[in-house]
Amino acid sequence: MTAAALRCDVMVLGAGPAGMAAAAAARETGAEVICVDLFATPGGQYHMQPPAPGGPFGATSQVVEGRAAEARCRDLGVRFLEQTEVFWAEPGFTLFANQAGSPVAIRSDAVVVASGAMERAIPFKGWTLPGVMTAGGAQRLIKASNAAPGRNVVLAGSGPFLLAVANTFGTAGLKLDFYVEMRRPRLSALSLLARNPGRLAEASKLLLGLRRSGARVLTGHQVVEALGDGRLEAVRIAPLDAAGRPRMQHSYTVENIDALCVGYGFRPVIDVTSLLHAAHHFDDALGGWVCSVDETQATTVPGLFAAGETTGIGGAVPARLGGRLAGLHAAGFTGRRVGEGELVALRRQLQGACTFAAGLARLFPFPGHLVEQLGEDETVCRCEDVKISDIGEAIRDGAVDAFSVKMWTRAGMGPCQGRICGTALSEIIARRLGRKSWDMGYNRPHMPLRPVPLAVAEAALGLKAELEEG
Amino acid sequence: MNAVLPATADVVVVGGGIVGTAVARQLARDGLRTVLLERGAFGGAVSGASLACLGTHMHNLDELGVLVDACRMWKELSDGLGDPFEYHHCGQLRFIMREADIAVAQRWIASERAFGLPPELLEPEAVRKIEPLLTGPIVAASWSPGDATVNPFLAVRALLGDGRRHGLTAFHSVPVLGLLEDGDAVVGVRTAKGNVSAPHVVLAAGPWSARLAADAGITIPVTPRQAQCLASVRQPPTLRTVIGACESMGGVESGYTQIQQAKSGQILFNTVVAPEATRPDSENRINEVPLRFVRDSIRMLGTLFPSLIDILLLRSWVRFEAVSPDDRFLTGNLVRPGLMIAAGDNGTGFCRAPFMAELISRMVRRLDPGPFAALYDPARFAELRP
Amino acid sequence: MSAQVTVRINGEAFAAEPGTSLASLIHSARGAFRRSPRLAEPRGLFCGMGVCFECLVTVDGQPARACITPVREGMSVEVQP
Repeated sequence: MTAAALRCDVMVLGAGPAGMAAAAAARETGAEVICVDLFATPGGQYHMQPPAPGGPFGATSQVVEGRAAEARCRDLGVRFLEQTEVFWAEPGFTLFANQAGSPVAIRSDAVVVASGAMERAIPFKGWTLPGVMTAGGAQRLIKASNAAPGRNVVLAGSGPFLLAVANTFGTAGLKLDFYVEMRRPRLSALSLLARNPGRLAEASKLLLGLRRSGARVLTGHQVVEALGDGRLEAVRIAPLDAAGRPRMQHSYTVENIDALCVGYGFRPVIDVTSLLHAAHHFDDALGGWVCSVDETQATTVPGLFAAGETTGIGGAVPARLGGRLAGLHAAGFTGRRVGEGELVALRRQLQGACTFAAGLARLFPFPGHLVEQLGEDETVCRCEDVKISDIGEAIRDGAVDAFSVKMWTRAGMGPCQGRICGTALSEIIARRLGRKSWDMGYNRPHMPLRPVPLAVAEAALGLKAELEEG
Repeated sequence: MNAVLPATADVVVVGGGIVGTAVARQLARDGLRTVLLERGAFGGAVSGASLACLGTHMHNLDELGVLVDACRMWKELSDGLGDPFEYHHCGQLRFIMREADIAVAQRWIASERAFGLPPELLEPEAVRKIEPLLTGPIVAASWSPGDATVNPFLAVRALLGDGRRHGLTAFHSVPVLGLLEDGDAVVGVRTAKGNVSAPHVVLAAGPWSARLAADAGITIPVTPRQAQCLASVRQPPTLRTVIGACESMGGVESGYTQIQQAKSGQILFNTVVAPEATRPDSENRINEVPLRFVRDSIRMLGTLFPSLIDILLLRSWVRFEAVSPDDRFLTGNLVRPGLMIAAGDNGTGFCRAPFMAELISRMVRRLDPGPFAALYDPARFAELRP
Repeated sequence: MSAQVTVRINGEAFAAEPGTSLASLIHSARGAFRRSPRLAEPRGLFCGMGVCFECLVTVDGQPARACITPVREGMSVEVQP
């Protein structure tokens, strides 16, 4: 355990497209920049790197651009802290982190939060069987570990990310058996592309990639159940009616499936911004609770900036633009000089990118209603084995919100700290109480933001004194 | 949920923590039309944050009779309600790290044994037979085999449920805004959802009872004190007992320490070396735990249980205890006719809750409250004499 | 392709590609990472990015999320049976 007490001008959380853009931008102005990330190699989700050079993904633009972004950051003198997870933050700012079992404390005048997104998970029947994973988890297996999710794979859910994952299968030469998208293709999709012709090529490429994957494509369908004894063995698929409800009498089972990769979209990671009391707002299309920023990517907390998915799910293009803006403004906050001209251009481009992202998001509204399909025996909180029936009983006994349901059922009290079940819990409780899901409170962050070994926590917090001297 | 409050009741209980819930349940079982009003979620304040240890060891000696009764009541509740709150008869160890404190422990043990209780002093080797992972540098420990713990959330839930089965009407999310008065008497409460008239109002709102009492022109010497706790990710069965520091008069090296493993497997622990200054208007909005507290707690846990130093910290929380000048509950009539109080947990109130409930119910029914009532009489404070 | 590394899972030796995650190895080798606390159901890889903790295993004596842990030569992993 080697402790590190570090100082910098601008600290960037996350080394994805937004984070690396912010780090490079800030560093260009001469600011001392530290960029922390959970994984061993920078890139985040979008630019995740293969385990070794070459391979089927070695020449993809995502990998190449990611390596270039990292190289640029390093050449400029950005300091990366890999395998580093922030578990606490104090205003002004001091952040405490766990670097693969070693304690770290970082004092910084400005912080750019670009911690990306996490799965916006919705439970379904059988979702806890081994073999059922998120679409993002499947993508990471393939791209970053050259591993196949399974031999016979169903990819299901909703949203543009699903298309990207299908392409991942194709690029890797992995068989994809079924592609099951909840929404039907709509004219609004075409008009969106017509308004953004620059995206047409990308869209065509993705659709072509889906065709090449050989998957049987089902739109207006939904996976309603994962079946198996101790592990995934089969998948039940149903067509949806005009109201989007599964027509169970027309459902059928696909046998011999050993991997079901499900994705319904993402939600921003807002632990640090919430902890530091930045204002957030609820935008269902952009992932739920989202960190609010102005045109300088500043949050409502002076010196705290945010970019990328943290400010609303939008993908790599707004992330890079917003990241650069955030990095420049963060450097400006610490007294560095920043050219106004570039800022204006960046803002304009970002606005256009966000408009497209928002349009795309509207094509795939988040299906919160899926919780209505859960039977009494379905597991909602994976960490603690809490079922729908437990939640129902708690509400009947007087639980009024996510907090009180948590108290009586333990839902949300496990190691994931309510991240995986939080969306579903809000939807379930809101529906039972006749209220809105965003009104159910979002998980107020506590020490620690992420589970951390006791010894590391104690040592990292102890570094604060060192940082305060001098 | 549309709360339609009854317009009248025999008793209104303000505060739905363990004390208020226990009081309301007892009143309902004793045949009184009782309305319980909780401003937030039942058990959502200090009760839920409590480590809920039930015992007779190293508490106020003049309360030993009360504690014995209270512990028995808890066992009866658990048995009678079908073990709904993870009652765990685990015993308690109070570790001693300084030779000088052995004499302190012996004095406690002697007093408790004189009362017929079974605590004893153990050598470290004997301690490790009970708690094998306690390999830290202790010189001795007292052992109180009768102590137990419960799950505080489920305890509130169970008492609430039992109360309702006996006719209690309880409302969450209904803050009491003030008291209704008729001359000198308190005759009910005011809420945003309507008034409830009742000849008896019981303030069981922890430290916030002071606010309502002030509304009636009464200043009660109950103030909030911030306390906090940490919890690990669940572990396999690791700790068998409650582990606390020997109650030493003056020396705070081991501080106030409490460590236990909940039924969930999570290890709950806290050590306070220097108490935090708590503002008198502290609210139950969740505050952050002080970093010094986190470090002290982890260091103490690691000192006692070196093998636990790498387990994962998962949660922390803050609670506000209601503190009175002599460390005892204020339970009984509060100056004005119709007004009563059951507040002042002083950090050890969970155990006493059913006893306080019994007291209040007897007083409301004008029965002899028993020999211990005087201990808790609010009028023991000069400013609270009617 | 560079030399493989050897990782022991519950005492059994497995070959793994350097730079890959421990989770990918466990996923391919056995599929299940742990048992759920109340129902003792087997659980597998879920989010793959360090959020869900379904892949929590013991690596060289310490708790670790396999999905964010790169494989290393000589790594010793305990997985709940």
